[in-house]
Amino acid sequence: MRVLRAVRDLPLFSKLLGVFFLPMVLMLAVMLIWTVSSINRMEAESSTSRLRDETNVFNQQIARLEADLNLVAGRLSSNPSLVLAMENND
Amino acid sequence: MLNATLISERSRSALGHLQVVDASGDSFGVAHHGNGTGYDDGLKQLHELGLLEINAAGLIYTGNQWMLAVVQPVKTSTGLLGAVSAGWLLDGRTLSGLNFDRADPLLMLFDPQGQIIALSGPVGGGPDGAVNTGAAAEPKVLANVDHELLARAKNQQISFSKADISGEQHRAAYAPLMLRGEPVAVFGVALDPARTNNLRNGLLASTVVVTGLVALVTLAGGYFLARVISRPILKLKNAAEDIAMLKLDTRIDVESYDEVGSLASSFNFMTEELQRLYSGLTEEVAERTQTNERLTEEIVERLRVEEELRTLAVNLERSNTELQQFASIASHDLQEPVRKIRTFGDRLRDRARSDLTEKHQDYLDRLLNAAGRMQTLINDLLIYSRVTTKANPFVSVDLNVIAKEVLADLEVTIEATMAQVDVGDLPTISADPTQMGQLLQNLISNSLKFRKEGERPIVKIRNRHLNGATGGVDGALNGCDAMELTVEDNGIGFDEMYLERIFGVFQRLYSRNEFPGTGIGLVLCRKIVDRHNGDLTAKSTPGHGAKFIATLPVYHETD
Repeated sequence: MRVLRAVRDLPLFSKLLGVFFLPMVLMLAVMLIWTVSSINRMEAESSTSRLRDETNVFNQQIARLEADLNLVAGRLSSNPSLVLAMENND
Repeated sequence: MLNATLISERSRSALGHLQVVDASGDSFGVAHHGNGTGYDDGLKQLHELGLLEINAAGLIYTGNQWMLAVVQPVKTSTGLLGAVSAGWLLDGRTLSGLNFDRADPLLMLFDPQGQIIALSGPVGGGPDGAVNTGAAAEPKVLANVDHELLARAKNQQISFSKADISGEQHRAAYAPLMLRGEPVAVFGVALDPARTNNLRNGLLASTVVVTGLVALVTLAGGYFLARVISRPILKLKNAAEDIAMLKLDTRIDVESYDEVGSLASSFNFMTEELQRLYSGLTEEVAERTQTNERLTEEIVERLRVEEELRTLAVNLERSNTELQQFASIASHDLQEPVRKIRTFGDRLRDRARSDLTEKHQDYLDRLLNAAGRMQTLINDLLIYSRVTTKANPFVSVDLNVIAKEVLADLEVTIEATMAQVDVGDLPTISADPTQMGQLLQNLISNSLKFRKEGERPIVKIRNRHLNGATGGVDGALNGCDAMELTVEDNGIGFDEMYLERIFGVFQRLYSRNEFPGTGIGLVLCRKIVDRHNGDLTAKSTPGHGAKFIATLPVYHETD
């Protein structure tokens, strides 16, 4: 009641100012909170996505290296001269 | 020849290491980059683990370098001859191919025990056993590595978490490094928070600044609008106070056409009307003040006149009283000499009539007639004066009884004139019984006296009750319960223009020779009626009789 009485006794100028200003400030505050939250969420989402991309790129590069190793190892192990040399212990 | 083949193959494929071992794990030939002692130990271990017969793969530490290697067994129809090992040394060149030369994001490679093997960034150093491809003056130090995450990563899952790197929390992901379908190491990626933090902080700062600017604009707009709305109201308030101080020429500038502007227009209209009314009121007050002053003067004058009238009335009443007393005394005292004149005149006429000449007898008759009229006059005056001086108090009087007595007194006259007197039912009123008798007697006598020659006089006495009468002495009859007594005859009547004259003392419409009398009868009637606070008047047309109307109150306040 005391607050209501104090508000009621405010000058008309202050009340009008409050009518215009308070809703806008409240809206801005809500928007600010919502924006900060959205930015943080977006940052998390984008970071996760990037980490996943980096991991995929790394795995692709490793797969390429592995393919090279398998190719060379397979070619050597089936090289007749190499097998012959190993049989002859040459 | 074998070594030449290996060297040729290594150069062709740009691998870091190629080696052939026999079935016991001993080196049979090798071609590699740098010191190769560690490789021999590794392949020996593979032999001891019985892994040479399968397609094995893994990370091998060569003593000063890590190597990513696969082992391919060499078999013939006779059995296992040995194995071929091929590997990539995780040196700067290889790691650059894996993007470990970038500063962002931070790439990490862990051995199966969780020990760091390689770390991205400028070449220049790193933790023990780790390869740093960059040249950073102060290499980053990994700490608090989440071994659970590493274990999950080894189970072929990508895990997202945070890594504490040099005291900063980095968003990180861990994934297994798969060779031939088996996890042989753990790969980690960590994003530098500075970049995202800068971006986020920039966005937040922009948002806060924009929000603040919007709030300031709103505040300024609200201030402007509030001022636009409240200022005219404040003007109205000041103007109303001015009006209260009777500054009626105060007006408000109408600055807008909204509700407040309309209110200001109405206020101005009200003020104009107020000013006009006030001006009129002022003039009226001035006029009334003058009227009051004039009335005051008139009242003072009237009071003065009333005082004079009161004095005159007192004097008049005293004079009347004295006059009545004088009339009464004079009438009474005059009767005696007149009576003596008539007595001695009668004696003289009776005893000395024969001694007198005819002329002297005529003188004597005239003397006696004059004395008789004088005595009648004196008697009438005495009766007139006694109406007020010898009055009786008001009592309940039955007018029927009074009328009978009067008719009895007038019986001789009625018979002589053969008159018909018709008396209606009369009421009982509060009155002086003697004076009521005098009133009826005078009115009936008057009707009998002024009869038409050769026509039988008819007199009708009637009564009518009045609710809320008017008139009387000083309006005494107004609103009173009264009666109207009428005495109507068929006599000679009179012209109503002489109405007041017939009620005047000693006033006569006809000569004494035509109708004898003193002319005081109707005056006496009016005086009696006046004493009873009543009213007496008459209606008549010459030759058609007369009607006397006496209005008398039924009750008096003294009853």
